[in-house]
Amino acid sequence: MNKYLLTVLIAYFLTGSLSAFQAPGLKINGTVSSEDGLALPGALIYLLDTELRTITDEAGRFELAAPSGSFTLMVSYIGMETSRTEITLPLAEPLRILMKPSALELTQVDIVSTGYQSLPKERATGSFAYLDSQLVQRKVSTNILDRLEDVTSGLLFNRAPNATNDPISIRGRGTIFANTAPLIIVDNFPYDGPLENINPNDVASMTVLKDAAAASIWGARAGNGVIVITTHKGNKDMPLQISLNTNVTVTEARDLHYVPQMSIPEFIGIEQRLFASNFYRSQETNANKPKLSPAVETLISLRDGKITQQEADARMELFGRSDIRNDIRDYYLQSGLSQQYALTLRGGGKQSSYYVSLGFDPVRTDVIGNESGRWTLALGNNWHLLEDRLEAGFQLNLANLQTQTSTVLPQGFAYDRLADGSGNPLSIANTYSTRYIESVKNKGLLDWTYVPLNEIGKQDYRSQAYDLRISPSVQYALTKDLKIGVFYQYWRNLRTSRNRNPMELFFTRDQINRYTQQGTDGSLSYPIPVGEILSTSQSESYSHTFRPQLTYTRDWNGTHFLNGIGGMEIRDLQGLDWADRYYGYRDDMGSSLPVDQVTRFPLYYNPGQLAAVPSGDSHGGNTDRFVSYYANFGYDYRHKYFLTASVRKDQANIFGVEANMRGVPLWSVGGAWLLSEELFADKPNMPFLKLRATYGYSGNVDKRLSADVTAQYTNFLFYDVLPQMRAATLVNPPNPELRWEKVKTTNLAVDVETQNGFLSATVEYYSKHSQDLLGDYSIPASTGLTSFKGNFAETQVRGVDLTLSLRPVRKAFSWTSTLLYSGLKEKVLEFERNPTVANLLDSYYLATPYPILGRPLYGIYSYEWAGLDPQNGNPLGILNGEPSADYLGISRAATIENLQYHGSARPTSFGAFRNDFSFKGFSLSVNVSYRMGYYYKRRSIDYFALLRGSIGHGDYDQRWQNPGDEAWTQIPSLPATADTRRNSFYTNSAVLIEKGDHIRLNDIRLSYTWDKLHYLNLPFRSVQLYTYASNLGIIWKASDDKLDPDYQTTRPLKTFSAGLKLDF
Amino acid sequence: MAVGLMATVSCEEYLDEKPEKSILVPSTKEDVRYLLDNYNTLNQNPLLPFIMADDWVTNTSNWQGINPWMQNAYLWQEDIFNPDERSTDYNILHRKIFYANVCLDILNDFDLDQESGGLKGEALFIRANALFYLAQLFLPHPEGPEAEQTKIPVHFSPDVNSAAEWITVENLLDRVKSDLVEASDLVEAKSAFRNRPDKAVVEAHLSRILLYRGDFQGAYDAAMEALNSHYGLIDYAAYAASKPYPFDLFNKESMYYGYSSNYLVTDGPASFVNPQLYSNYSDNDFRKGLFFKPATTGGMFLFRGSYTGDFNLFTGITYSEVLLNAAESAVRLGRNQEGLVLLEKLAKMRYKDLNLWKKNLEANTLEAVMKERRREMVFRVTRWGDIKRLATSGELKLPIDRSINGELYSLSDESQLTLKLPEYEVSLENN
Repeated sequence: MNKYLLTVLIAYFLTGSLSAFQAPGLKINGTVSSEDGLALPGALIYLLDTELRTITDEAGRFELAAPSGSFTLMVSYIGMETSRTEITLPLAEPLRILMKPSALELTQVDIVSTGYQSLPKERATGSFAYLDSQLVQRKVSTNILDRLEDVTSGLLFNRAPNATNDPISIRGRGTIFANTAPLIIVDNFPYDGPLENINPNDVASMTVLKDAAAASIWGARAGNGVIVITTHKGNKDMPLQISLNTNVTVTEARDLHYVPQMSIPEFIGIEQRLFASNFYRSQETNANKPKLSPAVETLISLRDGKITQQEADARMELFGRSDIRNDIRDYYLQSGLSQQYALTLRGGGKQSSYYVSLGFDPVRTDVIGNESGRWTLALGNNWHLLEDRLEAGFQLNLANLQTQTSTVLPQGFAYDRLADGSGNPLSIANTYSTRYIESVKNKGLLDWTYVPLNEIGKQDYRSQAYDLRISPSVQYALTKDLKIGVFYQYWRNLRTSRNRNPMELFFTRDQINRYTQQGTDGSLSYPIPVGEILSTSQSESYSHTFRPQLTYTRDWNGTHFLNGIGGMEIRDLQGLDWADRYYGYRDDMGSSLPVDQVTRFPLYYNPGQLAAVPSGDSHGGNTDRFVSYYANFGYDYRHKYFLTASVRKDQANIFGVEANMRGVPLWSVGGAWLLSEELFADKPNMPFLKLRATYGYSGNVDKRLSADVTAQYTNFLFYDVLPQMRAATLVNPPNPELRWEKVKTTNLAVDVETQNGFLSATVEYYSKHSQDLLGDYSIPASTGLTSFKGNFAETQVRGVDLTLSLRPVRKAFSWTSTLLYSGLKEKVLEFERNPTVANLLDSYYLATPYPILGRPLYGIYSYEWAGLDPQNGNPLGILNGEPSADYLGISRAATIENLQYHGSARPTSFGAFRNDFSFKGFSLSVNVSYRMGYYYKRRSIDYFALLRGSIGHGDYDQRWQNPGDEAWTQIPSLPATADTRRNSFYTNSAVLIEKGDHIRLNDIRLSYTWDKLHYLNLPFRSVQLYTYASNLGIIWKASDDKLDPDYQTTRPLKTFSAGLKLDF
Repeated sequence: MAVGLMATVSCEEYLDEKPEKSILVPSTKEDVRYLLDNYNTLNQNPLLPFIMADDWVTNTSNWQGINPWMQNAYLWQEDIFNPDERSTDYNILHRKIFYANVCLDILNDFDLDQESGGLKGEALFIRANALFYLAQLFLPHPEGPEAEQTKIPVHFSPDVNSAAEWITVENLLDRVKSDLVEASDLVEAKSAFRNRPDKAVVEAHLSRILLYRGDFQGAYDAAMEALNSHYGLIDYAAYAASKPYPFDLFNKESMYYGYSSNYLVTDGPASFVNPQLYSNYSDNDFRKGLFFKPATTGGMFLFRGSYTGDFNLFTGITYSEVLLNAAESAVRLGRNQEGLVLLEKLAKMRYKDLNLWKKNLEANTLEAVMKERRREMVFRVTRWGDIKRLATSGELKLPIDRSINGELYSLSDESQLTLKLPEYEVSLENN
């Protein structure tokens, strides 16, 4: 690594000597910015009638050596009206050039940020998806990542049940078992905290880095793509601007009836049938006294002669009319309500700028009595001193989050009744049978019944989180071309939670009762003292990131332009967490009682179970360290040819790895050709045409692995025989060959834009080849282990991202239409062993992928379906080419090859179609999204579970019952016995596989803006009233399934928002 | 820059910090201590020997609810595991050997003192214990059919990348014996916790293995060594049948903790004690009341006499087993009187009326010892090893029959006493 240091030092001396060659002469210097104060980097500066040209730097500054005299300075910038300024040299003071948006072109000035530098998209070679402030603020939501959905090409929110580990993927998935999350950068530093700490109102722009040239600067953490979030900053020479944004969002309450459920009287009929066949006998006599449904308990009472037939019939009739979902809806649910208040102040003088914001976001959830809130404070200051040679910045962000839960939704049997006819709370079974609870009623125990309605508002769970970020930075221009900068960020996060379980809760009384000991004389003793149970947890983490960096920028009369950065980054993140539990707690006295956590007590309800009192203690700590070296160069010849290159080496504290294996060098190169400059230079109304190509590597790491045998300290649990002992568990076999995962990306792109802005388009083709992916492979158990994780898998994603924008009308009424399309094909290139058929059939519900060569990581597989048997309604598959009900035979004969492969379980084409209209003060934006080329598995009646006493899916009511029904239904008949094989055949058969393709009306935003230009008497600069509605429904879908393909268990909830934005 | 330079210099140390507090690369004696105390792994024993032995029977409806490999094992089928199935029991045993190998490897770096020696002894014991279970399941008895040709893969080093050694039952038992002999001189005289083997435990285990092998003098010597220790018998007269599980965990008889657990089998409402065996208990026997309780199915009985004090089976080593090993060895060595004295020691603690016991004692001393062994060791998962050695010597007459779904299944051939290795494991070994 000394080599790297050397490089940096050499670069320093070289550049130092270069600056010595500067010819003395007159200087033109100044800044270029947009009217609203946004600095414009990369603006072209021409001194007309000379060969002299230059480009503005990142802060929009330029400097040009020139002879004395009078000249015309021309500044051009895409999307801006070209400006011409007459100047006479020498200048009295630096020029300030303000550019107006071009009347014809309303194309955004996209300044993309990689987290290390900002550059105009126009000069980039890499693949960036850029969301400007307007697009970021288009949606109303409290979570920042939501704002990316359906407005970012190549980025997909995964919805299937297998997406729990990777809710967001950028250009497909580049790993199998390692970390799947994209890297999130906030204000130039990797963000360590939870994203809900970021107030979207503070966000100025978001950039998604998709290819190697864009992301390689983040090296070993960029394998899953990078999302860069940039918050608002103040601007120099801007008078104080105050804005207030406030809105309220109503979200409908969850819909418990969304997934169809069989009718309750039918279900009770099944329970009666099971009871008659003695199905409940083993549970009735089970030593653990498990709970049974009200109908089964009624049947037991009837059988034992405790109630009359008449009474039993009356109860059954009442159960048939009850539905716990209605009770939950009536007693627990409400519509959710969230509000946002954001106040921002910003401005700047000649030498400094500032930004201050305060946000408050209270949320009321859809369960009564539960709420959360967030306060955020952001302070930012920037100073330009010593004639702009010294630039200093300071930023502070503080967030406080609170949640409070006082009510938990009850879990009960389908027809449990929470209240009687007059609304009086009723008890329902929880854990134990009502029979057992009744039998121990007079044994002196605490009340062991569970009355859900009495527990509303009684839980006392509170959590608090504080999140602090402080980032000072300083940059000093050593010479005209060379700047040295030091960037630093300190982050700290504290989280506490306190869960007080008062005696009113079943949970508390149950814990005490189950440990209660009865002496031979019948006296009771309490290993868990009578009192509240208090659980607490704390965590604190902090990180330091320190980044010294050199920046070199130089242009040679506008012909050659070189820009380079190089530096190192040291990161140290540490976290500690611990949790505790207290018994016999009295909140009014603030005291708890000690308990014996070592002795194993026989449990009251089943003395054959021995357990110590759970300690609830835990301790954890982690350290995440990186040392990285990076450099990035951009070269531009005559503003026509662009070359970029980046290199980065990361080293991390991977456990037990030899020093030389710790690091991985990753690099990228890219080129762009501004074809329009070549072909149509100096021609009026020239279209913009640019070709780009990049190639390079990014990486991914799994720090859980190690080159040595590793062990993990564990404490035994309260039900283990020696709870007081400490032990170590072997977790990893040694792997001296451990390497980092690498993702090789090739990106080819064309950018086109007509001069009048009627059309602009970007088409990108990419190929992402992930190598050395970690994967498990099976090893003989005689080694002591059954699988081994090593770098041996390979996957490939090839795809196209298209963004097309049309502005058909650009008068007083304007209309912009934007189409996003992403298509991708994912393929496993190398994997050791094929999964089993059972793995594949279950994989839809599992987050772990089961790779098969040549197929996408997540696929949908099923048994071929041959309809229902007209005689008996049995489901039929195919065995030896014939329809068959030999389910065992079918499952035995099934192989990966002969299973039906439908296709990918994740969309292979997706995108959105957004239309923005504006007329006078009105703006309307409608976004329609689509997802195509994938399949999902529909849920249906699970006869096995039903015949084991669980209520089934609503398909039951449409089942085959009589010969001839097969003409209108594909739902098998109710079998005589719980037959796992028949059931497993049906639930895994092709009849339940549906095409997921659909088009959805995502959201609509309507706003009206009054501004000072049109309303001179307005006391504000502008006032905007807006409304926003989301999850409006499906416009078209390929399948007849009533449910939403992407939401099989819960309905996407509609939200309606209204807000007001004031700018002073 | 200066800071950067400093960071570069100390970079190695900086990156040596472990990513998570709780993880470690085990390298110290203390680490080995914690590894060897992982009793949930190291003191867990396989279930297969229980399932296949004739201590228990079940009915068809319960049999239908257990896992397919258990169903197959219950009926002594030739192929117990599906071609793509791994065996939990096989995995558990090799995992124990792996722990032992890792510990032995670490301890190699230390001079042999009392502490490291004790740990080494424990590790050798754990490996020997697991190897012996493998031998009972997957290898024939040394006198059994194909004993010299049948081999299983075993690792004696922690390197997962090295190939396994394929060894015969003779090789394996020789290794087990020499490891135990070595361990006997290394382990503590008295361990602080029952999950750790001490000298008496090592000797007890040695007697178990030598008895299996037919080395009666060796088994006798080792058993006597083990009996002369701080462990002893408990008097069943002091235990109340009114308690749901009458015995306490870690009583004086439980020398070494071991358990086998699967609630489907060990806590099943239809895991009945073999009625034939139940009929062997006289009313004079405390065990009849303490070990069993009537099942809901009429006429059948469930076991509740586990020394774990709950529904898990106690499959460690008990003092009574050692006593029975000694008694049997003495009798087989022709010292009948000595055998009877030892047997009476046990009987004193098990029978209500010792004279009545004496009166009803079988005339054949060996038969008397073996019947007592059968009654004492019920549900302690030693029966499979006994079946295997006794069937090989011809003392136990096959077949043993079981019926499921009205069909009769028999353990009728000696070859059924050896399980085939899971096919899947064989294919991986050959990779």
